[in-house]
Amino acid sequence: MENHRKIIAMTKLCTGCRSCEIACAVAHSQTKSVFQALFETPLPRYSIEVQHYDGVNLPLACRHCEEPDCLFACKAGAISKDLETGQVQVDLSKCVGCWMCVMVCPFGAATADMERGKAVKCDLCREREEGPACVPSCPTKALVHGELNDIPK
Amino acid sequence: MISQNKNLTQRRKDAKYVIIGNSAAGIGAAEAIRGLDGSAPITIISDEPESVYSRALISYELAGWLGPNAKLDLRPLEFYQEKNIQAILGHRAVKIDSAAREVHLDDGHKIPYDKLLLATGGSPQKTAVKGEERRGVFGFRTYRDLLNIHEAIKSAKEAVVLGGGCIGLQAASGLHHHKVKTTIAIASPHLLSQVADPECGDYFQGLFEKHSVAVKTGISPVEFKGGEQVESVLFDDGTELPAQIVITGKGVVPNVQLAEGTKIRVDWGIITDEQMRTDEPDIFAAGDVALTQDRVACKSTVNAVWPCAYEQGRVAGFNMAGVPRKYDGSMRMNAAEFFGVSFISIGIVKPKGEGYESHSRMLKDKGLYWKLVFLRSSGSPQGNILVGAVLMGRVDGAGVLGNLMRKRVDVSSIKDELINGHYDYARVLPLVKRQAGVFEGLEYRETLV
Repeated sequence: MENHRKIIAMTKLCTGCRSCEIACAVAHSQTKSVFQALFETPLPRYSIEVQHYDGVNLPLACRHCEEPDCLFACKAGAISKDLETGQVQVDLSKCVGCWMCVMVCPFGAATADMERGKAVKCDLCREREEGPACVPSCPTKALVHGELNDIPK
Repeated sequence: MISQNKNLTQRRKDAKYVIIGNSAAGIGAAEAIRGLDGSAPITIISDEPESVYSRALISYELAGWLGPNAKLDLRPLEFYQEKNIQAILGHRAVKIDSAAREVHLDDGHKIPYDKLLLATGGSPQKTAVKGEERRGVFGFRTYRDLLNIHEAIKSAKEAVVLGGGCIGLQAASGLHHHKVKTTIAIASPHLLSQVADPECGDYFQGLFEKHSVAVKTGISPVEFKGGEQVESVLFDDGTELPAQIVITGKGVVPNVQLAEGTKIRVDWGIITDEQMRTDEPDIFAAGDVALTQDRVACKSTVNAVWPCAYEQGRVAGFNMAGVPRKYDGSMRMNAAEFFGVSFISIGIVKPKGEGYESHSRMLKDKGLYWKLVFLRSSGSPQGNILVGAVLMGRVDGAGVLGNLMRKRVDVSSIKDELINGHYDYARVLPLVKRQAGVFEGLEYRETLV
């Protein structure tokens, strides 16, 4: 479990501006440009979502669980977990859009992209050298790419 | 733990693990055992000759979702080699000699075991309709079924699908994709009658009809007519539908034959305890063959669905390897998509008896429907335990609802939110904060920063 980094949100710092959602969508767009991405069809999806309830702003992304229900439930064998990094990843070439992961994720962090027929979840920007795009996009530094221990008490 | 566990004090050294069954439950067990023990001999026996494939994908393949030359592999072809698993494929296990601790194969071979898992799955329920043996009458469960149906499609013009559950509807979508004129015929008054309300079933009926798939309700087949090859289906109301393909999707019967001659008790499925043990020492059962406690319905049942099968296999694997683990129960659940409309149904969706309370919304113009079922626990003035959910058109967040059912927590404080269709994780956060003992684990703690 050492060094299993993922996106952790310090909710008290989150203002609910949704910059992370935009950064995520752009990072997963064809053009990687915030202006051009708006004109892509289908529109790029984001996999971090700022949810609001009971006075809390919660930017929520996949927890990359130690025991991922999505991986166990996947009918297509499309989901895997890297034991070194802890990352849970979807192989989109194998995903058939059966929505098993959507049905079993306790966090609702895997969602159904009906346009592409593929599951969407945080991939920790696996194709982005600089790491997850949401983290530097946050104006209040509410997002950390790290472990729970890295969060200041 | 997915990672290797080095404290296997209870494990018998070099225990021989034998798994009968090569699908979700069998693979779940094999992966769990191998994760705990890098070297113990594991043998998988299956009467199907194919390498580890996903039978749940056959409907997607038939519907053309996987593209040409698609593979149905659940795991890479090197899976057995990589995991150091001996696979005996294309051979049926015919008998268990529990005294000698051996599995007998159809070719006379005897396979010794120390720990045995029965993950034998289920078979399509026979219709008991005259003419079922005719060519062109298919179940829809195995790779073999899929190949046979593909062959039949080449010359078929018309088809009848018997069954209006997810499998039946997926089969009908598949036949429609291959331009076979298809009729879904069911005894119940509406589609998806086991897992959804009439409103939802009727919506899907309209959707299928819009795509020229006919739906006939309230009729049962009495004969599959024809010669060697089926030519038509005769129904109890006198209707006769021409069909060169008939697919029966009437549910699944657990393959319990191997329990014969052992102490294993069977009540429809093989009776298991919380560690997936049968009544025979060192014999476990998991998947579509296993009777388990339904966590939501609070009764023993066979929940023949993929995620439950894998999880049961995994729990069995842990216990077989001597690492005690409790199965916290199964849940009925289905997910599907028909003509671009998604559908998920979890738990009790058609409650019978006292104490239940249902809330549903249909937004027809948006193609959205959702229904939640609550149970009133003693002392509560209103339904306060979520026990069922049906989502149509938008399925995101289904797992949040499923988890609330699994945890069986009081949801009074967020009930209105849920009923109004707001069931993102943030809604659950106050419950997670208050009941850290129920929502246990690193992943939950990470959302409380």
